[in-house]
Amino acid sequence: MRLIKNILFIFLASALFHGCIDHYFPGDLKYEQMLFIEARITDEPGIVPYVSFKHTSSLSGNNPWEEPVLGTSGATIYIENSQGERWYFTEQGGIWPLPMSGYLYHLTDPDFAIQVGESYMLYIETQDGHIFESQYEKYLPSPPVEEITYTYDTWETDETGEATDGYRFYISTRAEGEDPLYLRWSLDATYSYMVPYIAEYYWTGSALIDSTNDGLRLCYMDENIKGIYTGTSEGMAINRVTNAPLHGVSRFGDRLQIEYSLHVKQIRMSPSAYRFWNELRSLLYETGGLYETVPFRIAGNISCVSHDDISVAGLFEVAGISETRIFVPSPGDFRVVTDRCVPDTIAAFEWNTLPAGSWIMGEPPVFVTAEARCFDCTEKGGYTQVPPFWEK
Amino acid sequence: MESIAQEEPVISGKYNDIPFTDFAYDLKSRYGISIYFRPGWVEGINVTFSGDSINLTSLLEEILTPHDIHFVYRGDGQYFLTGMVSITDDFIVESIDLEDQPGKPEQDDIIGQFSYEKTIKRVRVGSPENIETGNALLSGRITSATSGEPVPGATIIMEGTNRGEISDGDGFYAIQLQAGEIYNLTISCMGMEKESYILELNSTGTLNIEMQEQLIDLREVVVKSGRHDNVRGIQMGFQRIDIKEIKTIPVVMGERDILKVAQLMPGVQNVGEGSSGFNVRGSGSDQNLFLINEVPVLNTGHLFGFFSAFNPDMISDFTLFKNNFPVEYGGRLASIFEISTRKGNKKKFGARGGISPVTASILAETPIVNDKSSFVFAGRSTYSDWILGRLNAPELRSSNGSFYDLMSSVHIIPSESSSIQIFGYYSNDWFRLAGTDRYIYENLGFSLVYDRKLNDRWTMSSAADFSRYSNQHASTENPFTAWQHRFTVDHRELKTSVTGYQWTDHTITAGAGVISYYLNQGTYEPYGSESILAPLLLGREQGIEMSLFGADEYAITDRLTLYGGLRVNLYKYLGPNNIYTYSPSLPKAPEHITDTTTYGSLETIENRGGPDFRISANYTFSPTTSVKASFNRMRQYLFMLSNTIAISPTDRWKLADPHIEPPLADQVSLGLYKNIPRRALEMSAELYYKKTRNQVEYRDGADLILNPLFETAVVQGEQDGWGAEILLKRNAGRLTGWMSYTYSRSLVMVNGDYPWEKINDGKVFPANHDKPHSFNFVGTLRISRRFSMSGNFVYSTGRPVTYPTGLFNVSGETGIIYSDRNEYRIPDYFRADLSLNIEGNLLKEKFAHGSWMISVYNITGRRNAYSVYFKNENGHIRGYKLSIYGTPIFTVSYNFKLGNYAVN
Repeated sequence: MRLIKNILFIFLASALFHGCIDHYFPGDLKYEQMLFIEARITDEPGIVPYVSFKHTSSLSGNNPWEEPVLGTSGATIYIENSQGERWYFTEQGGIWPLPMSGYLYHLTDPDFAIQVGESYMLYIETQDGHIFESQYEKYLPSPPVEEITYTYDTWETDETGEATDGYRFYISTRAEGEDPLYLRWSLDATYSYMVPYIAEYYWTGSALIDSTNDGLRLCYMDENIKGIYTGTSEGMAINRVTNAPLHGVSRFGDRLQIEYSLHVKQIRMSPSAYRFWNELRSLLYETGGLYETVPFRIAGNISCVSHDDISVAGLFEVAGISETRIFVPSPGDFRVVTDRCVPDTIAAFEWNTLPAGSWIMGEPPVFVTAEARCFDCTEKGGYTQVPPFWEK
Repeated sequence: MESIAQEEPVISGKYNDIPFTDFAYDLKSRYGISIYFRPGWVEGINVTFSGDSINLTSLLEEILTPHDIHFVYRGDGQYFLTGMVSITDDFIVESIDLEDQPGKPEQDDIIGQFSYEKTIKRVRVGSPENIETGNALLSGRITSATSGEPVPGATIIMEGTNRGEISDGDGFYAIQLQAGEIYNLTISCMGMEKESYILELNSTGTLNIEMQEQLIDLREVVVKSGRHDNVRGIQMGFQRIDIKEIKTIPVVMGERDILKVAQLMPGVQNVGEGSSGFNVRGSGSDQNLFLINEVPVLNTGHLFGFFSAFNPDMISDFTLFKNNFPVEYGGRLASIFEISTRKGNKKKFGARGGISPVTASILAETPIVNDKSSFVFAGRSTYSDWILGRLNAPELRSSNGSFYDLMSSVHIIPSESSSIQIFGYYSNDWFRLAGTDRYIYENLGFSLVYDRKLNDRWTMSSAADFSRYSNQHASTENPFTAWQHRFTVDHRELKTSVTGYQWTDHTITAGAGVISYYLNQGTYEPYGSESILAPLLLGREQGIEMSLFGADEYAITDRLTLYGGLRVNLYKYLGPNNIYTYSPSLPKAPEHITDTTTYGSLETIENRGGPDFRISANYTFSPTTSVKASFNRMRQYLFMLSNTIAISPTDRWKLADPHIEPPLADQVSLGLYKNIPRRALEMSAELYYKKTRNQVEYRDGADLILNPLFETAVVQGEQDGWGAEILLKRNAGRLTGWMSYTYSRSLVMVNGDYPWEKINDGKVFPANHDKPHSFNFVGTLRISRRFSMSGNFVYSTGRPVTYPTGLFNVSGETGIIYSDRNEYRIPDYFRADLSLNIEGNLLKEKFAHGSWMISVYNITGRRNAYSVYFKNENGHIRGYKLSIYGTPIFTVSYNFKLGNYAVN
């Protein structure tokens, strides 16, 4: 009977689907230059409203030089509110990484102050007569973030099925009026971490000196968090965005070792800008699968009204900004696995064979050493100065 | 040799060591002399002679006697080889006049039990004293002598003429012939012994025929149903497949699947493995009408679309019309896929079933009243959860699902001239995808079909059916915004038609039908106690489609047949409903609504419709060669809205309304058909051009989830399709199967007045399913009586796809700019499958018969691309290729049935 069961299992197991995902890059992709216009007006202190003209780059990174699809230097650019008032942008000189002119315009008019509830339209006219317009986009201030939570979760990190686990973050925000919320969150984080070993000696290359690594054991690391995180209260029974998912922080690595601080910039925007970000998120992160949707050329909320043949995409964002930061202590309910340090035992008389800059611990006749990153946290790219926002 | 006293034919010529089969074929073509024989008897016999005015009977004696093969000359240039059995005049019985029973056939065995054609009989219809002038109508019903079930798709051929007919789903046939003539009538159908009659037709009358089920043929000479119809019939763009024909074809996971087999036919493609539905001649997958015993089925897929929703145990045969649609059918632009189920054994209880790695199935049938009525029930269920948990694809591995389907039928023959079938169908699918989305969908349907022979010349067929497709989707990714949504599509239909042979050489069809559509688009409701979603009501839609149709098939001469049909249909979009008016110079969007008109219950909101034409011609150059042409127009009032490449469970059905015009397609076709009987070969080549107006396409980036305004998500344009299909099919011999090549293009243009009414700036782009080159080979090699091997080879051009052409940076995020829609293609598709079929012993007397199929699907393990896509991973754009079946899939399946091998 057992044999029959085994045979049956082998038959069935071999009959399984074997769907698979492989890395694949088509060889015949062409590069098509396209103009992308990014314009932003926000209530964020110190941020000047701007319009920038960019051209797409190729996927391979080898950008052939091509004449821009149209000259954008000397363009007439203004925003107009629903009352017909206009504020003009001025062209900025080229600075790295935009060494050429015609790429960046600022609104420096001191009379301009963004008004709550007011709608603004962007108008661009290039020297050769191409006209770009947005629709009127309404400015509403961003309410404060109500809550950021995190829970233990498991998620896949790439298409081939690699998975990790750790904390997954969620955000909630409640609107103060009746207008639905259209939100995007921009994230950055700082975390503290510590190296495991305490040094007693330091080999300079010419001398072994008594030295501890006390000032180099605790560091802080900053990181920008990639991804598009959006949420809306449209269609909800209450005007609240609830538990919109943010990023995940793996328990593997240093991030959750001591303390993790998440800084969230909340951007409240118009429905059309929200649609742009949602579409972009869908094109970047939600492709593939059995029920794959047809990808499309994103257009945004700026269009060329004078010429049909200009290939352009654009985003005009009239945004209210609010910010918050939270601190996450090292988890107690699961183990954090940091980078592994492997000690190397050496005989006492062998320390002079080590490379200069080696940290050493232990006592004769046996010394112990390891990679520098196990004694000096700055070796991993962090810094030792406590950030000003760090909670005491 | 024995012969009836007749003048024996003489021949002239020079033959040098040519096979006997070629010799016989030559005699047929030069002198019209028919020699009937079983190929195995003359295998290895070659003919060598030369001379003028040679007595053929003597010559045949010279040729055949050394091989101990006997024959009989029956007169009229017909020789029958009888194998090793000698026939004498004693076995030949003169026919008896039945002058007082006009119209009733009289039958006598002419050759008797010793012939390989043991059912050659002489029949007389009508009295020779009262021979009708002009044409007479011969009609009747063909049934199985074993089970009493009607035999659909049997071919009735008048040898020596260009006339032929195919029995319908109830086994009825009718054919017009010149009265007062004697015909050689042969009836053949796959899985049945061929029947031959010498028919003396004096007047209009009935000839009911019982066919014996075939046990095992010595060399497995299989006569396919409809062997001749591809040349002589008026149909073109037409495929009819008996379920028995496909039982050895290798299939994935051991599931015999008629839809997957249909995709091996020329002109039929799909967008990828595992996808539900298919595309016919470049049309969308929602433009096919699937009917099972008249019940329309809107979702034909089980388990994400990997398997079809039709249990093959219950299926008798299926027919696919790609153009030249019979006037009785309408409502879809691309194809009609008509499935007939078993009627049930009317003589004794029977059962069958099977087990594969995915499903187990069972079918039981029994007579209710012997020879009068029967009941059949079939069920199938899966244990796919176990499999899904072990998959490699992440999306599938975190999924689970199950399905089952049930079918039942009662078939009643109250009288010789009528039949009633009551049929019920239910299929259910449940699955959870990637752990966050839960789907349940069901097809439910009933039909009542009543066929009646009104008199010798007219038959009537009436049907009433109801079907409901319901779909429930719950999204639980975020418990605070979780929702569930259920929609239903109801279809109620009444139709009737009469077919008659009222005038010489005319076959008239006329009828009417009415369809009521009722779509409850449902409500998005919060799912779970934490969800704060506000309920969103999508409303209901209803419409009615009425049609009157009539057609005439006119055999102008023996060679030329014309078919003309007109189907006038009127569609009414009915209230209650609210219709929005949008600002004409702005995109259709909620913020651009300028007015709302409210309509009351059953109030007409919009009238659509018009005449649909069906015109075709068939010119037969010879009994084996013909050329055909056709034109037809179709309209579609119910269509699917989909923004996915393959049919997905979230796709929604929609009625044409004041904002979305009903799609309309015109198609012209030209075909050449050639048979080579001695090689058992059928060849056909068809060209077509199809123009579709009001083609419904999704706007870029449109989404129907939580969107009550469908018109904001779609645009309409035109689609041009053209192509060529070549089919070479072998129906008999040790190697049977077919080979097809299809060149097919399908290009779409959406170029409205405003920028938002365009796709790709109004430029032409290939449809998602545009795959120009497609080659299929399906073959079965009979190794012995019990063993056979089958193989498939499938190649097609990769489908169109949209790839990135550039990157841009916005607020620190790397974005992708995509090319024009469908500007590129994924890699070409190739697959080879192999199966070994093992039948149980072939004893005639046995309680049950079993068979095994060992198959390897995708034997080369080629990782065919299902899709190619790109993702942003930590700021880097990476490309991926998804393959559904990335390795060879080995399957063992077992099927059984009560009775011996031959039980149908």
